[in-house]
Amino acid sequence: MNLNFIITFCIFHLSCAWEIPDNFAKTGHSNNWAVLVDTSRFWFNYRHVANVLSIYRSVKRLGIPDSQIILMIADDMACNPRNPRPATVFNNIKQHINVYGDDVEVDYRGYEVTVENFVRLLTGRLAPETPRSKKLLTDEGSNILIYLTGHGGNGFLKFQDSEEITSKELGDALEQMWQKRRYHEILFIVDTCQASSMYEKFYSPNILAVASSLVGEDSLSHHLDPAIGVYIIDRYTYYALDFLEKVEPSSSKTLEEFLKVCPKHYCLSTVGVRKDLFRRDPEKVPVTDFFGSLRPIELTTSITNVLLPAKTNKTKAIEPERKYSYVAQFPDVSKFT
Amino acid sequence: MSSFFVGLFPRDANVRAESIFSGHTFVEKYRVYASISFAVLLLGVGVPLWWHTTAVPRVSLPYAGIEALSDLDINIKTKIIIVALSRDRAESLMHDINDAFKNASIYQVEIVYHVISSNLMTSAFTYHELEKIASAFDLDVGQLLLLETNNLHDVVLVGSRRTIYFSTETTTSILIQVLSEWILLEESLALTRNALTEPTLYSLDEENRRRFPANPAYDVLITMVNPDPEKLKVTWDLRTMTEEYVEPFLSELSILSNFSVKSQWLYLLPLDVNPKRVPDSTPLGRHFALSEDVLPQLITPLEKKLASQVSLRPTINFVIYAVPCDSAPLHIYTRSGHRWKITTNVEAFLSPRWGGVVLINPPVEACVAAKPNQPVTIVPEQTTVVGTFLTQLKLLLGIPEPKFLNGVNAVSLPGLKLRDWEVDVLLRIRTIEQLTSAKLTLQSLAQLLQEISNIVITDVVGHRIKTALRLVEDSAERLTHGDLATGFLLSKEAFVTAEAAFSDPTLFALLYFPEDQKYAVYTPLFLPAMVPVLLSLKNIYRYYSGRRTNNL
Repeated sequence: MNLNFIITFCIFHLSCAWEIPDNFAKTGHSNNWAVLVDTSRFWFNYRHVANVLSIYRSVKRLGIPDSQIILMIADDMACNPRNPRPATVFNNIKQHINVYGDDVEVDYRGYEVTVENFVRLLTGRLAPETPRSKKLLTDEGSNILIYLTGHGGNGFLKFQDSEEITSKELGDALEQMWQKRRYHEILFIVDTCQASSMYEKFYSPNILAVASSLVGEDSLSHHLDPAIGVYIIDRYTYYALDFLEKVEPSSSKTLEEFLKVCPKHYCLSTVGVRKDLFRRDPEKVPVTDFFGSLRPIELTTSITNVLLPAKTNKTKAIEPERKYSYVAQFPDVSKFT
Repeated sequence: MSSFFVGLFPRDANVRAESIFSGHTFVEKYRVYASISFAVLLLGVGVPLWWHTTAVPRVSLPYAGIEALSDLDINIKTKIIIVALSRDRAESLMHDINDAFKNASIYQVEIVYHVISSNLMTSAFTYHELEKIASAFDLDVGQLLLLETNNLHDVVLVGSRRTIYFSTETTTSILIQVLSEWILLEESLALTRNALTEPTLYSLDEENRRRFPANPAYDVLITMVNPDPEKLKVTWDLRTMTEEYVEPFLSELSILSNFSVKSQWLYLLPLDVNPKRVPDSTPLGRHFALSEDVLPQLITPLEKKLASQVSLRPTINFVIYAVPCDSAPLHIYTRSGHRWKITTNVEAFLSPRWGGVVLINPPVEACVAAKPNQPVTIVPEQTTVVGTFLTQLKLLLGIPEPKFLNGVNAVSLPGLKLRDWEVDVLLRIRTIEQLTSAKLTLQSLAQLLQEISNIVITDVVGHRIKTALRLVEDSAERLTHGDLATGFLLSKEAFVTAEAAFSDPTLFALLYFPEDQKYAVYTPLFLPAMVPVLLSLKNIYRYYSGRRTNNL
């Protein structure tokens, strides 16, 4: 009796210690993926690399393994000769967080970050010899977080210095994904100027789109680090990271809270949200549905009866024991000389 | 000489030529011939050549056939042979079963009946004797035999082949229930199909979400995790285990996909959570509690180290975690706060579309007897671990656990074999999945290719699309004839071909190079060359029409 009480008491405590949202099992997705893209290169675009690495850090901390994160970074800021602190990327003048971290797995780097590769990645039309780490192997149960940052304009996002992806192309690529049942739900975040123009042409279901600014507005950077000499993070991502740092894998913060993350007096631009394609209520969706990777589980209740197989009379090829000895050193040449 | 001057000083030369050859028409004739040859060369050869070389090569595709796929219903003809002791019983059963499956959207049930003498059935007492009688009926893949016997302990006994035995008292409703909930699963199949075609209307059920997506090849990766090799020594030959248990089991499913089994050992990989210590009355005086709620958090840290992503095929992970003595025994508690299994040293859970995890606790005696600074050697109970693994593997591959029905039993498995009807269930599920998926893929691809006209369609892609379309149609046709095995194999090939056609890297066109840009490039290049030719056409016309009037 006493023991029983203790057990129940402890269990009560257990469930308090790890609060996982009750409706977790009802999400309907079975795995999480993230596609994080920085499209601009050169030192003065340091902040875009810091943006994308900030999100990378968050999704990784919240549990999406590297094998399910596709990170595209167009330039290597950490090893740039102008970086006063090599092998680090900071998103804060006080250097709270080194977003470059200890292990960053960049899947597409430098000149590999092209519109072609991005669209190929989304639609799955990659060359057959492409390694697994560069493939988006999602299925109809995958929730995907797509984060884009770079320089954009009305209806396009510039990739590198030579090309751009239009909102129409992006919409078509997502529709292809939908028709091929390559996702369950998508959270699409874009941090660029006139960002909301990027999601206007979407027409596939189950996409929740967030943009750092509306058409006609610029997305502004947050602050400058004089030691680095350039702006080091954009406002929207700065506040988004600020929010995500407070999220734990077990926390029950909802997407609605995330959508309110950068009010106008912080961002100086209006955060645009498009909810009409998304079929769930963001107030009821935990942030970890997209930023984390909690896999649903089932307890195994039965054991298949396995008969011991008849002892196979396979005689194992026993490797003959060989005695190793030292080979004689170089012959002594002194006697010949 | 003269022609040289003609070219350089046309007017003077004409005058001179006239004086030399005393014929104005002679020179003009050659000039016109030259113009004609230029015009023919440019317009007759150049323009078609340019048109041909700059056109987007597109193989013609059977768009109408692909369009018609939406009307192609997948209908599996299933033959059920009823063998009863009396004609009346057989006929009423046939009638009722026919009625029950009349509206099934996926099945077309064909029933034949035979009457068997009760003397023969009375002589059969054991299951083996029944099996012998059943084997007199030649059953093909996907077919079923309902055999009535008069000495059966259960209401319904489902055999290990394709036979369902029922007693004389069994009601039709329970037989129909067994057929529909254990074997034909028409509702689940219809949902599988609908969830693929209309994901916004239907959401996947638990079984669909658990099952690995159809693929021609899988990896099975067995990982033994020893978190503390200094204190715990695990004696187990993983390679022999896979050879003796896992591979024979998977070879039963070789028609379905190719499986390759790999195994590995991982050391120093602790669990990422701290289980709660709970005092109890065992010799160790405590156990550790792992709440069901935290289990999702265990998988991601494991997955990081498993290296399951090295191969391109989907990996079915199976992790065996040996619990060291200082955190043993470790037990899983359900959400309602109960420990649900006390009998074995094994605790297990699975994650849909990922794999299974088995925690093995060391025997309590070994831990009690453990000396400090000396490793405890444990030998896992092979049959328990493998049994758990095979249960999980069956679920992950899509063989559902039969629902509990009162009085209905299934013959226990002979060794590592699968029941034939279970394999048939799986074949039906996969066939539906693969055919539906291939249909959708082809339709999506056809839509894309029709809408975007500057995508190149290579011969390879064209051939794949045509082949896939033919395979889908063939497979559906085989199924309506009740040939499940061939239907499945064709559907698998159709699925793979359609997939390869869809993801072909050549199917890529950058949209911001539109058609008019082509003209913007070529017009400045060709127009200056074309103007004199076009003007000379006028001269040619004038020359010939003038000659004709002269001749008249």
